[in-house]
Amino acid sequence: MKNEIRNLLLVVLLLSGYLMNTPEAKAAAASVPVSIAVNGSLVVSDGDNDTMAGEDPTKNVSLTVTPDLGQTIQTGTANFRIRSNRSTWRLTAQRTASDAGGTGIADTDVLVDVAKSAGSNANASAGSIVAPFTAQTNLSSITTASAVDVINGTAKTSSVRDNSNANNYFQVNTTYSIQPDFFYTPGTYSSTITYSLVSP
Amino acid sequence: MIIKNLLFLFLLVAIISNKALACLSITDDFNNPNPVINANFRFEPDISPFTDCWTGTIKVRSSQNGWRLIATRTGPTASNAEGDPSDNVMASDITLDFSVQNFGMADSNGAILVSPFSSQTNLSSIQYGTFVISGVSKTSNSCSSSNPNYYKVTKRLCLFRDFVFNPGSYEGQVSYILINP
Repeated sequence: MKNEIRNLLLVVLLLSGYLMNTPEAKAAAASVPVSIAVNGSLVVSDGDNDTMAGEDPTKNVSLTVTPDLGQTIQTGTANFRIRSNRSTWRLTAQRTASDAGGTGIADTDVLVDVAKSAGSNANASAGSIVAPFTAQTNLSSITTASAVDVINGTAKTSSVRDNSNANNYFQVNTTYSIQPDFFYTPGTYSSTITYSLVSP
Repeated sequence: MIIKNLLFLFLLVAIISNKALACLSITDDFNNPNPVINANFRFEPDISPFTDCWTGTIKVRSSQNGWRLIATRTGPTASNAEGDPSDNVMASDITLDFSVQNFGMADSNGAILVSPFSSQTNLSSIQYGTFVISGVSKTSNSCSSSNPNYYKVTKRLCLFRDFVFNPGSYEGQVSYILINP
């Protein structure tokens, strides 16, 4: 009888000890630190070939002037698309010294028009045209000594998310024109304008 | 009588020991326990549509049925970001795909991704103590990192390079805890 009571006490003791200290499986853990860096970016692409292949384009503008009695103005265009996630950016222009090529054409004879537009998912107010390009001017406004501001960007170009990058561009249209004149002699006038997108 | 007592004690110790050996483990793909796996994105917005992705895996071993994988998220929190805060990278911008594969003797139906993680979702679905996987079967009786019976949980985070995002640094963390409720 004593032994049975002792056994019973032993069992109760062990069970209570077990219940009080029920071992549990330890939890295991893993952690994933997520680190994202968004870098500022400025992209100029060809307004007529808006792909990676059209990035940093070289656009040739060829105007052929044949003196005529009709006096039709000859024009050529170069359109660019700008994408920037910087809140301040500038489009500048600088020109190489022109080579009149014996034509008698002066820089002031080549008229320059700058206009802006924007894709449906872009912010048309992201940049404003800087004087004197706010109205028709001529090539002499783009100096050879230093870069001049053409567009002053005050906001990022996109206003809404565009997963295909199809309509998040700010566009700059430049038009070059010349009035045919019997004064000009046959030859080739040439000059190269370099547009640069910079921040700030 | 003494033998009977000893047998009884042995039985009790065996029961307790069996309980004490219950285990849960998380390892990385190299079987390192309780891993810290970094997910780094570093990008410049680009002209062509492009998505940056990061894939990471963890291995789960449990000697008990009825385990759970729970996740808790902090961030992503912006630092040095310029622009409208609504254009910061947010958890909802980061897509999240989970998949589970069984290896060895682990039952192919023993680990079930809980909605919304059963299909593509985004990082905002993970909040505090979010239930990600319901484990209805154990993998084996051992959680040794060399044990070939395990569930491999693969997660893929993707972020589209959109011009709208504000340049800056964004930091966050997702912690996964394996528990036996």
